[in-house]
Amino acid sequence: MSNLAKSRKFFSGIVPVLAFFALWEIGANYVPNGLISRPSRVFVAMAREFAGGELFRQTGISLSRILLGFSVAAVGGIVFGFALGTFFRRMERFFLPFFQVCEKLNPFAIIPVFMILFGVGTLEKAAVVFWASFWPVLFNTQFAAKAVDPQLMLAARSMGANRAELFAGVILPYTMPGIFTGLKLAVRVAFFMIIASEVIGASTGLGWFYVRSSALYKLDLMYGSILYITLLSILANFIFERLEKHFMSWKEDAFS
Amino acid sequence: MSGADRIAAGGVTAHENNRPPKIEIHGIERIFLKKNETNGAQESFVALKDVNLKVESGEFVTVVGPSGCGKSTLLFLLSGLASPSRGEILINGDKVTGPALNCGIVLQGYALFPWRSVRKNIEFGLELKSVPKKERKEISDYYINLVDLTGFENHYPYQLSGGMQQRVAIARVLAYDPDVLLMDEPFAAVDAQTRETMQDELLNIWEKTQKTIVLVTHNIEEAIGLADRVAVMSRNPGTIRDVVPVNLPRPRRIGGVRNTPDFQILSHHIWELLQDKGSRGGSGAQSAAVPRVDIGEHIRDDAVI
Ligand SMILES: Nc1ncnc2c1ncn2[C@@H]1O[C@H](COP(=O)(O)OP(=O)(O)O)[C@@H](O)[C@H]1O
Ligand SMILES: [Mg+2]
Repeated sequence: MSNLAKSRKFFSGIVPVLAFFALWEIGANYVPNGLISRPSRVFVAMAREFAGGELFRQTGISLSRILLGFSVAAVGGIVFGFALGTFFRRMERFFLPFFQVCEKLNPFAIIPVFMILFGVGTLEKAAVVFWASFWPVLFNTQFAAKAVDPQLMLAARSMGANRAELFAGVILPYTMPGIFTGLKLAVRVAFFMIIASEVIGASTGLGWFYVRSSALYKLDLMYGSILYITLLSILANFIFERLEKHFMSWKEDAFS
Repeated sequence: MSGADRIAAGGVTAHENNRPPKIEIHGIERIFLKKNETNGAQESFVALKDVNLKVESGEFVTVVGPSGCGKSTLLFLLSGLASPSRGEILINGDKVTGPALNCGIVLQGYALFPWRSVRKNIEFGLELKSVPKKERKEISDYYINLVDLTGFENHYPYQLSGGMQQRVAIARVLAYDPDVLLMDEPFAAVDAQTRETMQDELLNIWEKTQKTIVLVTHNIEEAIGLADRVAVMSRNPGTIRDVVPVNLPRPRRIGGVRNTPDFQILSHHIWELLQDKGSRGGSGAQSAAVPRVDIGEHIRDDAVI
């Protein structure tokens, strides 16, 4: 993409966002007091919390919980997905139905269970994140690994590839797009679940910061937290999009 | 060696210096276990039965037959990707027990690695052989040039036309320098014009590299145009009905021989064999009654009509 096209894309994307904030700012005048805040005040309030260090601290706490739960889910999901999709495919019919039931379990309903099992705290929050983000990684990896083009396997075998070389040279790269699909889904649910678990029972973290703002009736901070959490999750998604683009440059872009 | 000598030798080429044949296929049978569609019971299906063939070093043999007669299966056995249920295959006198680097196969469809550039696809086999990077580049440069893909080294497969992808597939096999080249309907998916160019390119490469080639096709014209001998297969069970020597001049270009009377006669003969009308070649694979198609010579009436 040329620089001109890039900046055009950026501006056409930013216009509705600016319009939204402008409408919000103006619209706030016509809503009874105490229901919504206005963006200008939201930004100031949030800036103050950042300056005081409080928001940084809570962000760090939430992100580290996400990182813990998500990375265990990612590694576990990829390993299990490969195992069930390739060399231990015979195990699939034992495990898959059970895993599919697990996935259907409402992850919000599991939060109290984990609170009892792990005690309220970082471990419990990370476990909730893990539980929700494990399945998309597992299923997408397994699905992609199963779908590896047999012709490519034959081509590699005919050139003398052993099992390890087949894995590194064919199965892994073939499965990469599926793994990324799973990771991107997982990162989204990870952000959903961390806030949910911190809202229900916590004394730290962004979810806690958010409910405390509303409990103390600090509307500026409440709306600010929502915006901020959304922004963080967009950023995380953006990182994975970039990573995917970087690794997937060989893939045809159907809509370019 | 002329085709006439081969005919004299009963269809099997006796090499000048009495080296063993490059490839020997002895009494091959290949059985698949299939699930019956209606009752789900395991049934055995004989894909290949009683297949015998010898191929000399540097020879170009094509295998022609209807779809489903076991051509791909035969190439898989030759390449060591699958093993026969009965019989054995020798290459250079050694029994084939698994994929070996002296034998390269170009699979039906191109089977290129979509995440590898043209160069990296061609270097795949060399990487497996742990050839150092600098040497790999020299070799891939050579074959990129040979198949006329200079300037496309860094393209990915999806950016190439079908014909170009096929050339990459051929270069990838040539790059690790097997002396036997197996090709499964390599030009089936490209348009007629590209096909002829590529057939001529393949003849050119074969003349340059002296490889032994076994090429599978369902196109009679292609089978004759390329080959020293054409093995004609039939179905149910898949076996070699006859091996027809092609005594057309070399070096050869398809366009240069296609309209000659000899070509037409061969073509008609093979067509009849495929229609199951030709004379049976006895129990063995090689026929005693092959038509004489030496240029300028008369054709024995009973052989082709
Ligand atoms: N892996 C397999 N399992 C069962 N049947 C097979 C398998 N591979 C090939 N066959 C059967 O063997 C026959 C020959 O197949 P193939 O060698 O692909 O034929 P061709 O390449 O001549 O079209 C076909 O009837 C096909 O259905
Ligand atoms: Mg086939």
